[in-house]
Amino acid sequence: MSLRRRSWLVPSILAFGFAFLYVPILSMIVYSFNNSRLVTVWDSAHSPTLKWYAALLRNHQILDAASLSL
Amino acid sequence: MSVSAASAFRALRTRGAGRWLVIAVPFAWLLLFFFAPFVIDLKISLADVRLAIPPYSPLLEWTENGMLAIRVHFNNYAFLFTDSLYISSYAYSLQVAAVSTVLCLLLGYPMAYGIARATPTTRHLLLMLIILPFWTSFLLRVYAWMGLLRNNGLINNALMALGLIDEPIQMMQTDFAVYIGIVYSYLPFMILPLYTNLEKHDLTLLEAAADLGARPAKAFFRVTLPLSLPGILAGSLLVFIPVVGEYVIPSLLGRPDQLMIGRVLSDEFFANRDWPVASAVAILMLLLLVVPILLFQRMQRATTEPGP
Repeated sequence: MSLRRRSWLVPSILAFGFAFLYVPILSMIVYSFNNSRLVTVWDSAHSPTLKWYAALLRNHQILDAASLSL
Repeated sequence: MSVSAASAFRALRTRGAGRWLVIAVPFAWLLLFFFAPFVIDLKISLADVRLAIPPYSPLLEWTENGMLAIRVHFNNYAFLFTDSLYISSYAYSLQVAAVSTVLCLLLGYPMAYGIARATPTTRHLLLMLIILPFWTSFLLRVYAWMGLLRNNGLINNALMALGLIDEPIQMMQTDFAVYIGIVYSYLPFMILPLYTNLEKHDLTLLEAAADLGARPAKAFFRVTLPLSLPGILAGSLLVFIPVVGEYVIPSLLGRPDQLMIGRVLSDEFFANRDWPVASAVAILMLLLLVVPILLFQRMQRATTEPGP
């Protein structure tokens, strides 16, 4: 059936679009486990680490701000 | 009057009252939160700047001999045309908005089409995935792009590791970064109205077109595309209008030498403390947007209501 012939075009654009939407979010999640203070330098010797999450739980200002947003 | 006619009349009257109430609520809302601020803005834009609180001259003032004086200053508007900064910012904002709208359409249309033609289960999943980025902060997502685009960011590092380039490509603080950021942030606003439109299409029309000998491409351009015009217009409007006034994305990702009008506005207001000029910038921006809005509405009326 001729309708099926070009059917790769739409799925590939869909895949590209979703990659475009999710790469920044995923990169942000990945780099939150980075040990380095520099955002884009991956410190492979000490990563992954949860130290930013520990720091987040110690920071009452951020937690108060989060509870206010909720 | 017979009983049935009287009850019908009564029903009509209550329905009329109900309709009036339904209209009154959003009307009052618009009056209070759109029209009133607009009038205040207009008033400030006609004032003169002053070192006081509030930092502008009053429009109406009682003079010493008991007369009411109205002082209207048009020099704020004249000023906008004397300095090329404002004109070029307006032009640049319109250019960015137009290009971003086209880019959103080019990427969003096939995506909306793909979602609308997927099986119901996948369709809901994909729609969810479109809406999901809204759950994270808009600002954080723009910051994430800064991490990707900067000179020692993810994209440049990956390209250099692959040996495709020797030194990083300057992507931050370019128009390219602004378009990436804006298309990224506003893509869902293009996809959702397009999806709602494409999802309602009667697929038997395409079968009929195929039966009559139209190839899929021709059937798409002759049947699907014209039918989806209202969706295209709604999506374009939802992208174009807010992008013209966009302030955060160009400030974080854009060129330092060419400001968008939203940035000029905030600089006038917060850095220069020149409220009258800032108000004049806002009023002029609104007037500038009225033209495309009216144009869009006219086209929308032409596409949704078949002419006589």
